[in-house]
Amino acid sequence: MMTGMDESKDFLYRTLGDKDQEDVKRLVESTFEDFLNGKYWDWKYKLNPNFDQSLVGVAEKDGRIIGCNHWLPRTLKISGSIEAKAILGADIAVRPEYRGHGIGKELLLFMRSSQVITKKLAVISYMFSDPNLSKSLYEPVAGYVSAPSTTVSYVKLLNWNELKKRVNVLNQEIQANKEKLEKMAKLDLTLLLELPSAPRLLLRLNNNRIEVDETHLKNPKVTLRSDLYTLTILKKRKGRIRNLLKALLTGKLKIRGSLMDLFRFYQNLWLIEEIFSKKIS
Amino acid sequence: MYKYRLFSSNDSDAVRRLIKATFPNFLEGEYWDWKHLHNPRFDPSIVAIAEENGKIVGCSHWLQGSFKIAKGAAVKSLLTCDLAVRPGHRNRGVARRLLLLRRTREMFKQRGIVVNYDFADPRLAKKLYSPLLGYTKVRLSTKKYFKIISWKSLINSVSRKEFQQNLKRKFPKLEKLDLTIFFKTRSAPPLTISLSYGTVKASEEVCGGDCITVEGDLRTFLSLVQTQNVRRRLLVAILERKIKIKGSFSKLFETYRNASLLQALFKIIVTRATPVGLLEEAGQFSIRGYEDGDEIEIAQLFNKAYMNYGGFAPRTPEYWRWCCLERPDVERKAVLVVVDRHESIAGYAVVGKSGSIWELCYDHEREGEEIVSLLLDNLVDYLEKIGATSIVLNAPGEDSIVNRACEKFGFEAYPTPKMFVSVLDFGRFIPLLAESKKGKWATDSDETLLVKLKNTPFWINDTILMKVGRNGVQAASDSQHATIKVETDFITLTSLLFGIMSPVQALTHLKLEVEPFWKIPKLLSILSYLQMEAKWFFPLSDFG
Repeated sequence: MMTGMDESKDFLYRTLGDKDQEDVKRLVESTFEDFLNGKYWDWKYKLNPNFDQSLVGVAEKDGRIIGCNHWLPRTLKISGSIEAKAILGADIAVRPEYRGHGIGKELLLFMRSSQVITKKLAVISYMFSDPNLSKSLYEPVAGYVSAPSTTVSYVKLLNWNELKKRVNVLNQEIQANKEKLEKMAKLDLTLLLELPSAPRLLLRLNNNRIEVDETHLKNPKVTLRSDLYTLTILKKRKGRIRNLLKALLTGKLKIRGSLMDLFRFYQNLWLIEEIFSKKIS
Repeated sequence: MYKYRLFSSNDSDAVRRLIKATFPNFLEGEYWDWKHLHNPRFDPSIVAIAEENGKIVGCSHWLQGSFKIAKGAAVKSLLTCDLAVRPGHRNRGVARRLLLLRRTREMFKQRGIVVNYDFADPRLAKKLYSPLLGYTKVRLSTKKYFKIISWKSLINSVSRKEFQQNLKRKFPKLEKLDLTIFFKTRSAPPLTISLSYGTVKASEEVCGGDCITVEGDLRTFLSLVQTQNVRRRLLVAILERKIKIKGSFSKLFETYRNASLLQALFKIIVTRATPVGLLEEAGQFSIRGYEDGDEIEIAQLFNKAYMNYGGFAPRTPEYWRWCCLERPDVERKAVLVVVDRHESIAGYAVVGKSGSIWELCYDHEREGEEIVSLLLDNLVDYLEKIGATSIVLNAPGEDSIVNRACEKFGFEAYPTPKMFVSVLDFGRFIPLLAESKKGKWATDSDETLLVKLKNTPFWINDTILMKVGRNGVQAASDSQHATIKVETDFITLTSLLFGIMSPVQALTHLKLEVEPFWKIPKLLSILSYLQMEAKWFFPLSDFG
């Protein structure tokens, strides 16, 4: 087992041991919500025909695992006729209270001193990441560059069930919050959402509550025509006005309604932001 | 105890009876006489017989001949045909022994046999012929054309009393239905089916009254009969202009409302009351769930479909099983397979309960639009049933068939998760890239290239020395004899090799320092040669 010690903060870096699996599983589960209560970790690593325990690095403090980084050996096709031995860098997780101490960076470097490099087991490594995180961490620390991918993702929303759940929670929050109640007191707005990749949806914003309707879509005061991606951009508070104008000018967003209702809609964008603040798919 | 031997003239009657019982289309044995006994190529020494207690229970035939394998090239061949085993003796290895009886190296050598071929049911080929005899499927350009001359057999069957009674029992709702549907197709005579309060009548007359007229091709009609979601498939077929429907509004509404009932009814009519095999002949593809053993063909299909791309893990059956079949959110029924009428896999898709289409792949040499539509149609249906909120799919940007199908099914393009790549060992990566370009670079001189890397991380050598020339790229040892010296940084070299930055761009951005400067054109040419050209694609299953 390889080990390394960051003496200044007493963090120990080493490879995964048999007894660590449950701790790592819990850490990954708490960091990534889609890990299906550990089932996903078991499938992705333990049951993976390529899994190599010595390619999982862990960070430890006072005998407790506080971070981990998984590497999966794979064959990767790099062109029509050439395959290379590669490493998929996956699931790097650090406990929230230890973030910002450089543990993620040290784990990345620790893995690069492993036998994959020394025994020349792989030629390249690759990973999937948020571009901002890649720019701030993965590129400067591990030399990652954006791959020449032509992959396009397609998405279609089948129903608004997730949004309905969100609205239920939001209604409770509004009832418990005086400031929000005051803001909504005089509001009377019906908003129709028309997205090509989703069912039509009517939002009724009145009587201090929000109602979602997928069947009775008549007489909206404001009609909003756009796509799912533009909607995602608009819900961000940062640079919203600029994004809104850009979407209107490029035709990615079309809003229809009387001047008064449009003004009311603009004034209450905070509510739209709250409604769409969580995942809708 | 079975005894295996060669055919003798005394066996003719018993073999004729066995063949007739196994293949009912052998016309009372006359066909066997013509095909084998009277065939000038018939050779009893290559017909194998299995007997038990003196009774013939199995036989296997070979016909020797000449076989054209390419323009101007013919070889001696054996056609394996008419393998038959009596029902009570099946699954005891009789067929296997019959096939192997005369299959010896000496026999092939003596006769100069080069090729052995067979026309078989794909399931049997997969189970028996391929594992036992090493048969592989041949790529064919043969097309089959089909025309229905008469609906007589369908009309006769529908008019039968017991058929009518069965329909009434099975579909009590027919009692309330009064509808006449007139089918107009190019490859068949007109067909009118009248449903009148519990009775069904079929005729070849053209309907002139208040009826629904359906116009289109036979294949589309039959795909409507087979689909799981008939309303959606019907709308798609209308939008694609594959069928046209005319009629009064009330009749059209009645048809749409009773679409599922009509589909079930027509399925029975078509399968029971038409010439044998009509459904198979006219419908190009059908969809079914995954079956054990499919993964071999699926892995081959995946690798073939994306053979010009990089960026994914090539599939082996084992890897695919783990990656898709054993994935925690994938149910067996959510692995759909599109097969042609020979049970050969033409496409498949794997979808998770969360709505992620982990893989959707089709044979690019087949009717992709039909395969992808069939898969998406059924996937959407499955996800709606289990109450999933959304669907996500990854596809190569250039795949116009998937792009069009996604548009048709109401998907929108969405930002893709970003993939990042880093080199762990340039010394082994660069020769790999050169290997993929072998023969694409013409040069008359060899250059020794010395690359000095700045800001290298600890696992990367800061010096790369290689010989580039007529024999590709090789490691060099003596830096004193370097003809081109380059200084750059780790990220620039990685970006150059992956084709993210062009060599000219790197030069103009002062990311490359070259010595001597007159070797710049040569260096640009070497870097362009090494640069990766393949486009990368990753399915969602590789990402998650």
